[in-house]
Amino acid sequence: MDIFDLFKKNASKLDEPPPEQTWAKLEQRLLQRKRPRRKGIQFLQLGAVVLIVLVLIVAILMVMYYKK
Amino acid sequence: MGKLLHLYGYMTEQQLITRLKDQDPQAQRRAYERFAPMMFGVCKRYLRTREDAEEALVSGFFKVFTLIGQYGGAGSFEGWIRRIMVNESLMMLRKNQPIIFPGDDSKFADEPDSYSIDAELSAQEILDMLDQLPNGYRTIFNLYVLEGFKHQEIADMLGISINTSKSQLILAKEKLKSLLKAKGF
Repeated sequence: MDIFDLFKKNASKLDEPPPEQTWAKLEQRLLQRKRPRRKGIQFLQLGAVVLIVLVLIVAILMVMYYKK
Repeated sequence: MGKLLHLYGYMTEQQLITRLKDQDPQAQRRAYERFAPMMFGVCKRYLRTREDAEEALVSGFFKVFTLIGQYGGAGSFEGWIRRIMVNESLMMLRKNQPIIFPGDDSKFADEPDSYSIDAELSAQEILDMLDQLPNGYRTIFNLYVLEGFKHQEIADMLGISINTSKSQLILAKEKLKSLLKAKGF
């Protein structure tokens, strides 16, 4: 038997059930995906966008003021 | 057939896939129980630690369950899952360190080999020998010999030349031969 055939023949011996916590990790990831995003986080994101826009407006106004 | 029905909890593969497409948690658990042992074996062949293999398995099944809509039934379901697991293992391997392909690319002419062996290898012996191969040899060996990919496909997957794929396989074979001889086979 060729070396490659030897490994092909025996490779299935590596099959084994993974530890139980592996399923728990997977289940956790699947649940996180399904969980609706919390409103608090959405408000924070909105606040961050508003803040960035305000900073940009102030920066533009300052540039215009100092040019004058 | 009876065993297959038992493993799916009296669901055919087609029924299981349909329920997976509906994101049914019970079907996900059954699919995991059915395929996880085999896919854990696949991940262990590519990765050097059990922790990495477990991580690749979790990421792989997460993709299986979230991308199940893309499975159109063209090939076998097991083959589709296996392909995802191989990709996840390769990603994990690259994340840890780039895969280096040592050796001479011109060495790809597979010379006739008289070495013949008929033995039973234990899981630990297989892993021990794979662990002694550089990542490049090990990856090509797994992809070509155990997954059945062609050199062209491997070259495309890894972004290497066909000659590199062929030479890594020959070098892997030589290394495995010397390891088997050292173990008294």
